[in-house]
Amino acid sequence: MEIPVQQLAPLLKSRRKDLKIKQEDLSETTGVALRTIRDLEKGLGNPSLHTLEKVMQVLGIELIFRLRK
Amino acid sequence: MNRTLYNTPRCPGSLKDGFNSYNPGTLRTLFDSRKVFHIIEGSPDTASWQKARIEGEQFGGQQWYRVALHKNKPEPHPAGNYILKIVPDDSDSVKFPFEQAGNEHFCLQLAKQVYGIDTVPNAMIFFENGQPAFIARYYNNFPLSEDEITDFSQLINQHETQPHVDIDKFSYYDLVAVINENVAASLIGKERFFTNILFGWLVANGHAYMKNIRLRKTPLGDYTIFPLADILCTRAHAIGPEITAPGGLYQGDKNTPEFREYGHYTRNEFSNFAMRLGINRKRSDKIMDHLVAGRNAAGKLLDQAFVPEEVKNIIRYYFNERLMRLK
Repeated sequence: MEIPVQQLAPLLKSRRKDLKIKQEDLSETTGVALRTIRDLEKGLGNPSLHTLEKVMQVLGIELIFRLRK
Repeated sequence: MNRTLYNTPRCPGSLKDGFNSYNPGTLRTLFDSRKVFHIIEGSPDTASWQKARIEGEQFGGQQWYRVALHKNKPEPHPAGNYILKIVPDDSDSVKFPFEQAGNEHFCLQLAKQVYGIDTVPNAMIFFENGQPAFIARYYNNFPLSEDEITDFSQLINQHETQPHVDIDKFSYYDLVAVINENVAASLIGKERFFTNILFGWLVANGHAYMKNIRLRKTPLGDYTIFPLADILCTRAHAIGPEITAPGGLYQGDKNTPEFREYGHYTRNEFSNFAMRLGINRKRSDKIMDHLVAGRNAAGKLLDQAFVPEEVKNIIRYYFNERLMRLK
């Protein structure tokens, strides 16, 4: 499954800034590499669902998949 | 009362030398770059000031007022987005009553400048007669929206699914339920909560009551921990508890071998507290090491503070002594 990283990037970045947490701290808290965090915020890379979920969880965002109507 | 403090050529916000009033950085963060002067005309004894007073028992005879900017001048306003704290002329409830403003200002600048802790934007401000005051922006919006901020005393025991907390005996750990229930990014919230509690202890603040721990709404509508506020070295003014929460950091925190040996909190109890909050060891060690590493920078900033030497010495004593315990 391809994750729409480009569409998620602005949300991740603005949410992190709203919470006033640095990329380095987000990396340490999630256990996700700093480079991956940076790529995610630029809409780059092809992260696994597990990686994305770890970042989203710390940022307080739920990933929900629904059947298309 | 020292009536010459406001003539010190130093920014009463950032404590940087070479400024006759607020420097551009302070004006930007505290007053949205409006040209506010650091001296307020008149006296807080007038009726308009009394209308803006916030009722409630505050530490050390402090009086809190809501203030708003009107034509770049801070004026009392019942829906003002700033909080201004002063100690009345006749106060004798604590030692060094008038130095509380400078003490609180230093502690929050220390948190922000040396440790990068998110704090409410703040500065010293003076009345024409030299009376020092502390001003901080608590609310982003004017007129203030009351639902922007909520405090833990309003949120505790709101959910039947959580264990009931006796507010006369609560420990800081008991407040985690409030974070779990209300803060979507709860781990970030708990790290911030931990850092704020730790910093308060470090500067010997014995006045961190539940109503002074707050949450603020984010643009997405959930809550995050409110920036650090209401922190001063209360030991410079009165004897108080080492940890304000009556139950301490967590239940059983005084049963550790370290506490039994030394009779006071050490790094060990804070590590245990962090672990209970769900903060991993690497992160809690980093937070504590960062505080320890700031000792010299903290000392330099304290030299600049708007408090007399005897108060600086008390603050320095407690700060250095507690830093030693964090090593």
